Amino acid sequence: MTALAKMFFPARLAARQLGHEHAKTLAAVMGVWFACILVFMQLGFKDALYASAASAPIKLTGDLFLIATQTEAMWRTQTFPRSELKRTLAHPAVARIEPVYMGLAHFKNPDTRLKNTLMVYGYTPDSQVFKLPEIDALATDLRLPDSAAFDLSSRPEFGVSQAIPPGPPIATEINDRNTRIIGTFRLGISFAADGNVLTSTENFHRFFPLRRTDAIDLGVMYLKPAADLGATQRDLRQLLNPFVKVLSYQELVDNEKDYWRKRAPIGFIFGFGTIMGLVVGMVIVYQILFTDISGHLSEYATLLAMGYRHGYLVRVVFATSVFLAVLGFIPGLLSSLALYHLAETKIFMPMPMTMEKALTVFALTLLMCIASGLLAMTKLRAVDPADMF
Amino acid sequence: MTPLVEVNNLNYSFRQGEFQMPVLKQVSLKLYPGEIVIMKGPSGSGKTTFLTLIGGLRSAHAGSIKVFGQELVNSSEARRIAVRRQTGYIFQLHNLLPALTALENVAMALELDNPGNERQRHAKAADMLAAVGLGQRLQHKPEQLSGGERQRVSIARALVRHPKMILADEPTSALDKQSGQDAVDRLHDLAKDTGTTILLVTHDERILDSADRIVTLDDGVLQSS
Repeated sequence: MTALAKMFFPARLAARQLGHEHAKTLAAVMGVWFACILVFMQLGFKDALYASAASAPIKLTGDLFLIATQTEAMWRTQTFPRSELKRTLAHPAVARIEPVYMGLAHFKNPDTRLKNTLMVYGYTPDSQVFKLPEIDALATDLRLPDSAAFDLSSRPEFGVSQAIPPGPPIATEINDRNTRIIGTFRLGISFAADGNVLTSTENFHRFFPLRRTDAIDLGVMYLKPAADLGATQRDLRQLLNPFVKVLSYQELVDNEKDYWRKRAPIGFIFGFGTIMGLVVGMVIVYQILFTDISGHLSEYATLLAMGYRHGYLVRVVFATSVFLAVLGFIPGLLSSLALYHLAETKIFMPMPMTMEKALTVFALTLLMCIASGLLAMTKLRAVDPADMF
Repeated sequence: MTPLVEVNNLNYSFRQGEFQMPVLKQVSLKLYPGEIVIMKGPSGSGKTTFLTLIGGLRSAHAGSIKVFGQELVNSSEARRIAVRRQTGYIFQLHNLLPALTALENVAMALELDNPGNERQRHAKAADMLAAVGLGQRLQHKPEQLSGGERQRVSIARALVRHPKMILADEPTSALDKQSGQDAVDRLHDLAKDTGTTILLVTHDERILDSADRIVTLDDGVLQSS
């Protein structure tokens, strides 16, 4: 018998049995479907968290970055002396430096007058520290006292939803100080900050009058063309004080993602949710497969008496679990697509359905069903043709 | 004529903890090609155990069982599976797969060796079902058939591979008088046409006259009558 026939006949029997017992099949498919949705949502939220956590650093333009050694993540930085950033100019490869100030501030919703917390970035507006063309156009106006630009990706409770320009400037308050929103941009929010505001260094200190001007949160360095990035980073690490870290662009982004993955319990929670979803699905599929085998013991024993080998029955159960995985995954994928869309439009979480994610969930679903099948196969040992007569 | 099955001094006992429960004591029996032998005896006399031993469903360790020229005592699983594939079984219950039609159930017996193509298998299965009088019921599932019809499907399944030997255990006990007689008559006629040996275990006095020979097993001891 060829390998194809070896798999084809048991698979066909599995398909016919699934087709015959609609109710049981439907219950099993719904179990897999449910598990699929759970896993898709957990992975979607997790990826959205990591993606949005790094949404600000991803848009930075520098070559090397300076942060305080004690800083864990960018939403709650420790400051370090601005002089430490200036010292890097002594290195022949460093062409330009830009200090960035960051802080969480209250922002008053201009319509409801409710205050919500968002992240304020203060830097030289025409320095192009962020890759944001909208800000480049506003560079001059942001230098005006008490003016700021607002991130349109922010959550709707801040009350700014219309692009400026063409919309008119909006009057509101940041940290109880009268402010005009003169422009908008799109950066992206994170779990730590529901919104973002960009402004000049001078305005930043108007919003945060208690912050010292010589204590900065982030230092951005631009190297001369053809400078060796790795060598410069090594040199700076030697030269600078131990209270600052010198990071490359990739290290800065990874540092931010790793914080949420490892230091915060959130990564664990989503991982735990994923596993629970798979366990629930596995128990349901196992129950169905197990009762199915128990109900067919005498028919299966007859097959063995006819000369079928034990491996044939194993392949029937294996094929059944693979079919259940596929049948449950398809509606699982479709409903998750709808839920992802809902999440993106209603709660503004970036939740793209990537091919990689779909394949990951399919692989997990398949593994889950095959594991249930393997567990259920222990019941096949009870099939003994000698008990048939 | 060389016997198809030759059993000599077969002893078999069930083990229950430390106790040995002898089931078969010094049983010797020869079955010749084309012969229909009925084995009767009170329940618990070891008839069913005897059937499973010569069918290669259970292995013995003392005495000799030669089936189709192969020694089954202390044999390998592969040799017992080879015997199973040349034997047709009919059980007390029909044991048809509920998800498959009558035709598919019978065709499953043909998928094992040299499967050929689906059309050939279905043609053979349909011929055999027609031979047991179910030519009009090919696409019915077991739940749509009567008890007698189901047992006739399982007879067709046992015969479709043209086995050298049929082993049947109380094939009529779950059937009413008429369909039981009908099933055994068809089995008898088909076996006579093809020269198949049948060993049939039964309590059923009504079907004894189908046999060429009747043997009785009483408390593990075989008596020819």
